[in-house]
Amino acid sequence: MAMRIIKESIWIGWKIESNWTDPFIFFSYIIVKPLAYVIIIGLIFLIGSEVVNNEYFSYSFIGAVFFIYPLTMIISLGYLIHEDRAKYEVLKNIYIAPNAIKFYIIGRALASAINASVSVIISIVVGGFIFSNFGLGLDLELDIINYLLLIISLILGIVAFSFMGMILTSINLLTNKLQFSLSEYSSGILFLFSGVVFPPTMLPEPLYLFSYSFPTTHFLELVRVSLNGSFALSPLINMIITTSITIVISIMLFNHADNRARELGIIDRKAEY
Amino acid sequence: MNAIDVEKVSRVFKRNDNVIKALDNVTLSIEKGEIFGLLGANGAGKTTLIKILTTLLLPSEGNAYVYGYNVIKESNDVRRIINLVSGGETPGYGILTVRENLWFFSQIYGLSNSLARERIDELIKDMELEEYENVRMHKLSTGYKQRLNIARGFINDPKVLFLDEPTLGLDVLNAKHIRRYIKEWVKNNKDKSILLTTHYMSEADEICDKIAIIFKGKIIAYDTPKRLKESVSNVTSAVVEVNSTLMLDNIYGMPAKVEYNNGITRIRILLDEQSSIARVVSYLDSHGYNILSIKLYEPTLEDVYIKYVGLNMNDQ
Ligand SMILES: Nc1ncnc2c1ncn2[C@@H]1O[C@H](COP(=O)(O)OP(=O)(O)O)[C@@H](O)[C@H]1O
Ligand SMILES: [Mg+2]
Repeated sequence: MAMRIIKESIWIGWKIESNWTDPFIFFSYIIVKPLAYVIIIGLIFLIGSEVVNNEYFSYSFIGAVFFIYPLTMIISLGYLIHEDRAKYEVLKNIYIAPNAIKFYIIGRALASAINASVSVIISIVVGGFIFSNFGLGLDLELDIINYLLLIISLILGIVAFSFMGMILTSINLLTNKLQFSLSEYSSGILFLFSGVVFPPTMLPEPLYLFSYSFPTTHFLELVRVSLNGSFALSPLINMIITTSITIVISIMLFNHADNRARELGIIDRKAEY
Repeated sequence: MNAIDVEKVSRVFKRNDNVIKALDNVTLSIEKGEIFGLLGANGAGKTTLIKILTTLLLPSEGNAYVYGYNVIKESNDVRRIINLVSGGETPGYGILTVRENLWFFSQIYGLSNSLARERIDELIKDMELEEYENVRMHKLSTGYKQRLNIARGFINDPKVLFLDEPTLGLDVLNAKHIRRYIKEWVKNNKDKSILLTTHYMSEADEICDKIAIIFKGKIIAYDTPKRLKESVSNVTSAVVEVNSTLMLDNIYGMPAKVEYNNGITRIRILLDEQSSIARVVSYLDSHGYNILSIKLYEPTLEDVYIKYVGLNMNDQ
């Protein structure tokens, strides 16, 4: 039953978010937007740095590209409750189906992970090609990649980002004022503190510790390690620990929000009370 | 066991400094096989009661049960046997077709592929949506969107279906189709029950086995439509036409109103009971008036509402 809900929610999420029935939306959502974002980061790098350093470029580029996973998933779950409540009017009907809502959210998170995967692949191929023209070769050798570790990192990442997204759905369940700011702020903070374009060690001391509490930091490190064809235990352990903590916090928060929303009667709220 | 038991349920909303008592000590029971109508004006508390029973809202006080399951503590058991359709809403994804939307909800309820397909086929047929099954939802008219919404309400074959103003804003034809369908459904499935809210008197009268009138969060009348109407038969009106002018404002104390129209005098009398018409006739007869016609008006739920609430629903 849970699998059925998740499977269908992935399908629905993929259909309505990528909206391939409208090729223009599909293109801009899955391809153009992530590509533009990766290119902008590459350009900033190109213009801003004095020495053209392939190693550093690869760090930022890979970071930016794989950050598309948490970015896409968090933004999409950050809007989910609002859209399902006010635009599609399905939220209460999913809510009153037995044990459905959490699995539905997970399914929708997985759908955006699939969308993110398409964006990531296109960004690597196209972005890598564009920047190689500027003498910025990506240090990416396909035959040395530690694919097993890469797959493990992706799985752990997707699980972590699903539950991080669920934290946003919990908050949005209780308010209909934050759906716009919440996704943007939280993905912005994650971008700064997760070692996306610069290593977290460059942050001042307390912030540096802060960044280590996010699964995103360990996810990106794991991805880089696996792409280098090596293996490292400590980011893997850190990833497992932060992901587990995220899951626990997320479920607790969601249950709390669920009860509170029922107390207030706002699961189907369309207007502000 | 009843389909629904509501025991002394109250619900208070606090908005800024205002405290709104949306439900005030509501008690009622709905038997299996019954279509129960909750009749009341806008803001009377109908949706609030539905939300409590469908596990969307907690009561401030009291308890409620669906098939014996406590809606507060056993919400998952309740959810397994209910569904909800709210009029004026179109739950579903606009870019998906009618069939795809129904499929989505069938999967949310965990139906197997074959059962889902079978049920969707049947519902599409029953709701006369065949022509539109592969049309995207946002292209449907209001009436057909609501048919899809109704079909969704039956997707899990609920034991208790909640319909919150299901025909709100619909044209006569669509409304009629939906009423006929839900009536048939309960008739053909003996232990299914429906709680329907409406502010349309005729709708409640036409399809409900039992009616509760709700006013400002309180149930103020609660019975079968027939008995409710009988309870106000003392305000049944009669219209008597006579051929000459006369002046009066009551007959044996029963209020009367006189109108003149094209040489005909029309007297509208509120009878204290139906049989009093005989006294009216003998009175007019003994005073030498020539009676042209007599019409008796059956009490309607409107009269019931006026009697209990004291004003017309539309005047509120
Ligand atoms: N979530 C809420 N917060 C504050 N007030 C509410 C809320 N829901 C309903 N109300 C108020 O409770 C009363 C009953 O509303 P409702 O049950 O929706 O009435 P009906 O469905 O009969 O039109 C109204 O005064 C309404 O404004
Ligand atoms: Mg209502």
